[in-house]
Amino acid sequence: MAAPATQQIKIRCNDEKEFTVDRDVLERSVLIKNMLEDVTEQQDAPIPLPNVSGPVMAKVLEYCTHHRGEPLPSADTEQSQDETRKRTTDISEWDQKFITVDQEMLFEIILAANYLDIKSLLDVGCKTVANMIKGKTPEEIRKLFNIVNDFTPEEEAQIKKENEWAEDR
Amino acid sequence: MSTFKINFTRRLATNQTQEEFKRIDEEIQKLHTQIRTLLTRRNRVTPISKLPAEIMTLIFSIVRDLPTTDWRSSKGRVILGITWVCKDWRELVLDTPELWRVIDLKATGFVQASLDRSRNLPLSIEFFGINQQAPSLPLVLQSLDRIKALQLSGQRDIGNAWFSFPIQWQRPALLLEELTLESVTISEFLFAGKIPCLRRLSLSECYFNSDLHEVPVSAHLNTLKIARSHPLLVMGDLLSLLRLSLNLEELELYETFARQHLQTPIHTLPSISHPRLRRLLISHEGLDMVIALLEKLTTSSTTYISVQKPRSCSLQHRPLLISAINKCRSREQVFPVSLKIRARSESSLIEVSEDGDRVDGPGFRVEFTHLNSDAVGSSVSACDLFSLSSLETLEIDGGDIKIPPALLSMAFSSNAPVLRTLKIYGVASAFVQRLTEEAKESHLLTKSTMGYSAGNAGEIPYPLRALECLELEGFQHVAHDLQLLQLALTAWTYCSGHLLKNLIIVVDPEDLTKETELFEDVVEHVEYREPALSMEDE
Repeated sequence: MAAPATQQIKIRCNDEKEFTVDRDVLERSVLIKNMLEDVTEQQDAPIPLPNVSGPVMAKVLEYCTHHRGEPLPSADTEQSQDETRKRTTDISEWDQKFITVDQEMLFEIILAANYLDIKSLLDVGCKTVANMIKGKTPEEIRKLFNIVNDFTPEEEAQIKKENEWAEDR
Repeated sequence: MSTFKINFTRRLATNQTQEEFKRIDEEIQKLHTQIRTLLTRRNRVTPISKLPAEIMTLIFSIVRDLPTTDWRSSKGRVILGITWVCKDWRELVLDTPELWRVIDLKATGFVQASLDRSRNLPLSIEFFGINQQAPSLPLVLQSLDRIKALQLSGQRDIGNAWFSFPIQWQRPALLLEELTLESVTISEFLFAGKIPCLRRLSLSECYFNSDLHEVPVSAHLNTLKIARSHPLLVMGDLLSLLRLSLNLEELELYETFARQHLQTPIHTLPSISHPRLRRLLISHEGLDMVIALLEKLTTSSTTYISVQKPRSCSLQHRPLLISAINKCRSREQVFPVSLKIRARSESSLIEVSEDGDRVDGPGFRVEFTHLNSDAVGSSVSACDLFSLSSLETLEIDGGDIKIPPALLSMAFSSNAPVLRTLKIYGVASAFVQRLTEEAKESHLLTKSTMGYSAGNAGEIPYPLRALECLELEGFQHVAHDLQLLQLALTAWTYCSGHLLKNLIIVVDPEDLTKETELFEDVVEHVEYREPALSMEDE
């Protein structure tokens, strides 16, 4: 029998921070949804989430609360979604505002979405990073992500050759 | 003398200096290596480096597929540019074939590298502004059997010369699902090769050097877009094309027909049912052409039909147009979901029952019973009146007459893409024979060894892809027939990508020896039934 929508579930993050959340909000995460389905009796002990910190979980829950009730992608549509994910670049206005965070938090959200198996959030995160990279030169990308050029002279020579290939028309 | 001394001293000094240089250079080199190691270590503590390889690959593939208007940012170049950022990114990208399957034909020197790095993955190729001198096209066409999506846009020369494909196109493109051509000559060469998996075909401003019926339709074609063809198309040809593509879900026509071609007597052509069509868009066509097309097409009541800017259409013509659209999207139209054909020699009576025996929404059962050998032929024609594209169940009872090949072929119709249940009574041997031949034709079974070609598994089109339940009765040589069935079903599993859910074999238990273990690897559930239990009472 389906659990009532108001059922409250406790989760505990890796920094001991605990959240009590409506079950339907938490079930945006396929990982937690599966965990809850495996547990037949109601448990009071919080679900441990060793890979997510409190501040990141707070952001993830903000996303899940906003998108509660929306249909979850089913397994058979996963492949076609992969196809469309690459083609559609639109991020809704709310999602854009939500994901406007510093780089460290952005990558933490992506990691959490990947761990918790929240495909739509993973999509939003990856598309945001993709949009940051698009149209930039390698040097601009380095600057953006605080990366430095660590190529050997031989690799540099190879890259120069590849650059000529790319310009060859 | 002095010169000698000076030379000697200088040589001595030079030797010492060279050694010193060498030592210092080595130290510099060592330091450079250390610095580079430190730089790499530094890169590995940046926030972005926390993302695992699979997420970075996903991000890079999104970057590659993001739309762009700048030719310098073509998909191939974008991926190449990413390899120039840092060592770790370069290693990851070079070692991920998925990121190299989109090939940029403009960067000639780079095409071979992309072909190599993408290993055996299906390719996606895009090229805008191609001309006859595109040297990399033949190179890519050598890998035609790997191409999944091909988008070519020709560059029209001053003399209105469209780009023509090289002759290599005659080879089959077994994986090609998406073909988009713009300003390209469509000659007989272009479609001489088979494109059996084609799902999306878009032809824009193309020069048709051959008839439209040479356009490569496959049973899987679900999207067809034709715009501004040269010369303008003949309606009859398009209708013939539509008759062959019953899986169409989207059809778009834009300024495609010539008015004079309406004089062709299309009223003699039969109507075409397209129950799966979700979207029909007709734009900038003459009103008479629009109405002629709508009169010949029958779609589902939920099909979205849009007629935009019809030519020669004034306000007074509007009701005509609305009436044609309503007729096309008829609410009364139903499509068969179940078809039962029973052949018997004692009577020539054909009964067709379509008395509203509806099954789950729009659909009805059709039953042809008591057919003799002549009438079976008629029933096949009658079946042809119905669209098989909505058919979910087909039952053929061969009875005691020799069933015509045409009827058996119907069971293999690629126009029945959602057929889930197939029951063959009386003629199982003939059916198994046909199934094996089909597998051979698809090159899935080799003649010499009867082994399987596992290549392109799940990609080769093969009939009955949606099949879940197969019931067979009427084996002549049980052991031999079941061996053949096992081979054919193994090939079918490769193609359909899934196991048959249920196989029911109606056979006398005395005829069975060790065959019961035959189907373990190709069928989820096998059931052996005694004949009396399976056949329905007359």
